[in-house]
Amino acid sequence: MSAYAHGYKTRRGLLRPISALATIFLSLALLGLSRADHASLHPLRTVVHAWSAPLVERVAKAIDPVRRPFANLATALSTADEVESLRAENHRLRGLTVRLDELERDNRDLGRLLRVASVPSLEAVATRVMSVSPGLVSQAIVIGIGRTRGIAVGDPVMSNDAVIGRVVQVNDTSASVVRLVDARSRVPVLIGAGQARAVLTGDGKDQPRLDFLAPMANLVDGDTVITSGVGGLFPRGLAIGRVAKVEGVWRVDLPDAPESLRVVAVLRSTTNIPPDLDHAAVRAQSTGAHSERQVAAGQVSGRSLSGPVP
Amino acid sequence: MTNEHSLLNSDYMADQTWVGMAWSNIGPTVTLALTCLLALQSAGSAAFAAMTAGLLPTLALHYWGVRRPRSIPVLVAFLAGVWVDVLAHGPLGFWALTYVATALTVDALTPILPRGLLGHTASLVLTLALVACLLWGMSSVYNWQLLPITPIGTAAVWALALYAMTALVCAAMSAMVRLWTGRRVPRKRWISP
Repeated sequence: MSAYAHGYKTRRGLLRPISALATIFLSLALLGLSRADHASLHPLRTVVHAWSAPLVERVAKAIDPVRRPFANLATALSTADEVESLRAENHRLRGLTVRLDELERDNRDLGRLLRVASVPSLEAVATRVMSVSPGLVSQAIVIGIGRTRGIAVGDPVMSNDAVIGRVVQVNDTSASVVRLVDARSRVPVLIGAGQARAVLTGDGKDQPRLDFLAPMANLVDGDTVITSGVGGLFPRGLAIGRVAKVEGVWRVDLPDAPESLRVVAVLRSTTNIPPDLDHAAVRAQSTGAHSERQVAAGQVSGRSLSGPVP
Repeated sequence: MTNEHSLLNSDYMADQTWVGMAWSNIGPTVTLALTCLLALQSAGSAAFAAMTAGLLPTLALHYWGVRRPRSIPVLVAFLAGVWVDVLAHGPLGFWALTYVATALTVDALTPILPRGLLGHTASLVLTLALVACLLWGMSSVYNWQLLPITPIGTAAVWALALYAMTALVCAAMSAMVRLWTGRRVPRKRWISP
């Protein structure tokens, strides 16, 4: 008997078509429920995530030595240009630092005089990206820290000093982050010196588009885009990217190339940090270089954003 | 026409031992699970790599679907897809439907295409083409806008190139089991204890 005949004849004839129909129906039903963001799916996600996250993390660590040479090669190819631009930017930022100190002092004094309500402090926590969503529909990533590290739903996630998305689901040791390019993402923003208001809308493409832009808004290619703070999703003033007109539509160039999404920083509210967290150890790392192991363990605090958010 | 003496069919010889039988039952599922885990490991890679990685389980499904028809139940393909959907925080059912469609396509193509390298290649190309169309259609309907097909097409071409590697890994795992089986449990003894 041939291998094929063996395969076909020894199995129960009707089981396959029935299970095929059932799974197709189930898949379509799940897709419909996901599109509607039905609440009944959330427990399923949480349970499967909690169960699988350690396994995924182990696999990520195991294949890292294989993956790293390829990533390093890609980085090396773009290093020369990057060094030049970083040098220029460093020069400019040094000049701005002095001015920033002055403005911060003025801002604090004026805030005190006007009795402005204080904004919750934020602190950056670096972590490794555990997995990336494969597909056009979803542009999400899973990171290796969760509730036990003080991460909460809604926390902004940064890469290359710009917002790349926000936390939408938190488990004990992992969290899901929806990126700005995801079709589910909507972020109120301010654009350029004129502070034109718009909503940054993800549509699955590399550059999310600007919706609800005032017709009179005077935009120029390269204008900076920052979060507006409207709606309370993000604090005001976090950098996002630069404006670009693509095929007659205003879009935003994001600095978060997928190649750079290996380590990201979550801005957690200092009020969410568990009391048993070793702050001394975390702060000690914030000034120096940190090892991959510490980053992987989510023990490293990047630049501290403590103090009033601009 | 039979291919009992072909290299591909040598897995069936290993089935005579308990390890071989266990492998023939769970081996395809194990490799599918491994490719699902690898599908999520594209962090730090270029954008097209994420989509290509998502197609890795379809390669495993094709490999086993051609060599051992129906060795991976449709329900297992569905559960693997749901697992990837959950871990990737994508819409549930997206990859599940893709993997189910892959398993059914390979099922349908295997009996009608000629055997051998040509038939397998044709089956793989047709399966990946159908999967790419399905992914593009689902993505467009889900987002309610026509998305570019180029990224998915590029990913499918890369997946085609990666097939040889996936097949090598699956074959190497089978060969290792056969070697181990031969040493520990003599085939003769299993047939007539």
